[in-house]
Amino acid sequence: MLTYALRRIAMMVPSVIGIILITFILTRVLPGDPALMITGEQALPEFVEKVREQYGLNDPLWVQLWDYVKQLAHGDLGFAWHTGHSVASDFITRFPATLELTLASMAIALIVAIPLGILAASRQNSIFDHIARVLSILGSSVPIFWLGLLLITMFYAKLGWLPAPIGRISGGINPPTDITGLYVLDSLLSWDIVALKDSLLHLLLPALCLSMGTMAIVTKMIRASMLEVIRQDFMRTARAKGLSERAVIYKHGLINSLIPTLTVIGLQFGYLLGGAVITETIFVWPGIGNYVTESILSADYAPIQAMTLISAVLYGILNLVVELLYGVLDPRVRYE
Amino acid sequence: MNKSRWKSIREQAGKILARKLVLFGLILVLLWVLLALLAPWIAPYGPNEIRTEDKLQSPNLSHWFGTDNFGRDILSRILYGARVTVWTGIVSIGIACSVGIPLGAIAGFFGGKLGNVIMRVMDTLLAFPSLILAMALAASIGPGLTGALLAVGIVAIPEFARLMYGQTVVIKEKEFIEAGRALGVRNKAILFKHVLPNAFAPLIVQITLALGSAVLTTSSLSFIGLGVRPPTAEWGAMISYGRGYIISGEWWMTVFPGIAIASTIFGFILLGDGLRDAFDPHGRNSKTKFK
Repeated sequence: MLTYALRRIAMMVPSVIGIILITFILTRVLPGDPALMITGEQALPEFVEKVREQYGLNDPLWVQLWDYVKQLAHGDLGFAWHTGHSVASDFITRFPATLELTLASMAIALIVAIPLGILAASRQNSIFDHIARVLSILGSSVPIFWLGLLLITMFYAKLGWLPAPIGRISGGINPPTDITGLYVLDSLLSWDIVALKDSLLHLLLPALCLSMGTMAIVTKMIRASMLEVIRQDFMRTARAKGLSERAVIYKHGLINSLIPTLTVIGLQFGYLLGGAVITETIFVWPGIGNYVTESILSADYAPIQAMTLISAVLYGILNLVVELLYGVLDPRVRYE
Repeated sequence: MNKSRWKSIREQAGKILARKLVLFGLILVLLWVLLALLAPWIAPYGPNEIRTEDKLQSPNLSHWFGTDNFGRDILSRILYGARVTVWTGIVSIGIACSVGIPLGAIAGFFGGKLGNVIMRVMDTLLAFPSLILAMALAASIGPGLTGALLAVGIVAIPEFARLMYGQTVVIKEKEFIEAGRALGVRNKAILFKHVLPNAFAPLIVQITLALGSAVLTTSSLSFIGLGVRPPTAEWGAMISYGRGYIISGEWWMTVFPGIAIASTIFGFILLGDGLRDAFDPHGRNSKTKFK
C-alpha cells in the first residue's frame, strides 16, 4: 500500500507539470494582454510598456515559462495588488475558511444523501424513491447563487433565525483560539461555547447551499449502486442465513455500494471548490473563493492564475486520497 | 435512408417519448427554445426599455413578473434572456463537440503517440475544477459574452474527447469494422460511416447533459461579473442585479430569472438521464423488469 501510494504520488508529477503548462498558457498565450490587466485599460502606453518590461512579458515565451517555473519552485505565487500581500500569504490566511466550508458541505451532503439513497433503493418506486429522484434532479438544476439568495431572504430577512450572512462569525464575537483555523473545530477544542454557536450558525446556510449539488449526485449514485448490489447473490445468501433486513442492507449492501460512490465523492471535491467561489461570494465568506471573485472584479490576474493552479493540484490530491481509501473500504482491492 | 431504418428510428423515438419524465424534459427544453425564438413578438416590452416611473413594481397585470430598479419589465428580460441562453448553449457546446469529438476519434482510432498526447492534454484539462477553469479562461479572454462562450466551450471539450475516445477504441475492434477494412474501406469512411454513427447514442446523452451544465456555468459566470456586460438581459446577470434588492423585499427580480435557469437545466437533465436509460439496455429498465 505504501509503495503504491508513493508511486501514485510520483505519477502526479507529470500531471502537475501539465497543470502548470496550462495555467501558463491561460495567461500568456490566450488573447488578452497581461500587462494591460496589471495596469488597467486606461493606463498610459509608456506605463504599460514599463510593466511589460518589468514582468518580462517581452521575453520569448519559453523564457517566460522558465521564469514562471522558477518562481513557482520558490513558492512564489505572485503578488496580489488588490490586497497588497503576496498571493501565498493571502492563500494561507484564507484557505482554512474554504476548507471548513467545503468539509461542512460534504458532511451535510453525505448525511442526507446516504440514508436517502438507501431508502430509495430498498423501497424502489415507493414515495421515498420518488422524493429522492426528484430531489436529485432538482439539486443539480438549482443554481447555487440563486438558492443562496433565497435561503438568506428566508432565514435571515424573513424569519430572523440566523445572524447576518456576512463572514464566519459575528462582529462582536471574538474568533476562537487559532488551532486548526476551522472556527467550529477550534471553538470546540477550546470549549468556547459562544463562538461555537455563532460560527455554526454562520456556517449553516453557506454549507447547506454548497452541499445541494453534491447531495443530489451522491443520492443518485448510492441509489443506483444499491439497486445493483441488492440483486447480488450474496445479498440473498445473507437473507437466507437469517440476518435481519437491517444488517443485510447496512452491513452487506451499503459497504458494497459505497465503493463506486467513493469515486463520485472524490470528483465532487472539484465541484465544491468551484461552487465555493460562488457560495463564498454570496455569503461574504472570507475564503479563497471570495478571494478569486475579488481578484476578478479588480482585474488582478496573479491571484486568479495561482488559485486556478492550486485548486487543480488540490483536486488531484483529494482524488488520490479517495483512491487510497478504496483499500480501506474494500479489502479485496489490491494495490499493485 | 431506407424505409425500415426510418421505421425503427421512429419506433425507438416513440418508446423513448413514452416515458413521462423524458417527455416532460423535452417539452421544457422546447418551450424555452420557442420562447427565445418568439421573444421579439411576445415580449410585452423591450428588454432594455427603461421606465423609471414604473421601477420596482411587484408583479401586477401590466408587468406580470414585476419590474427592476430601472423600471425594466422582468418578464420581457427573461424572454430575451432565453435568447442569450439558447445562443450560449448552441455556440459553446458546438465548440466543445467540433473540437472534442474529432480529437477523441483521432486519438482512439489511430492511437500511438499522437493519441497519447491528445488524451494526456485532455486529462490535464479535466484536472481543473471546471467552474474555476471556466472563470480563469473567461477572465483571461476578457469580459463579455464571447469570453464566456469560449470558456464554457473549452471546459466541455475534454468530456467529449474522453467519451469519443472510449467509444472509438471499443468500436474499432468490432468485427464489422474489420470486415470493412478487409473490403478495402478507407479510414475516413470507417470513421464517418461506422464509428461516428455507432457512438451516436452516448454522444446525444452527453450533449444534452452538457447543454444543461453550459447554462449553469454561463449564468454563474454572469453572476460574478464575467459573462455578458450590462445592460444585456441574461438570467445570471439579472439575479446579480436583484441581489441588492431581495432582502428589502423585492424578491421578483431574483426569483423569476432563477426559476428560468432552474427549469431549463431541469429539462436538460430529465431529457439526458431519460435518454441514457433508454439507450442503455443494461440500465435501470432491465433491472426493474428483473425485480
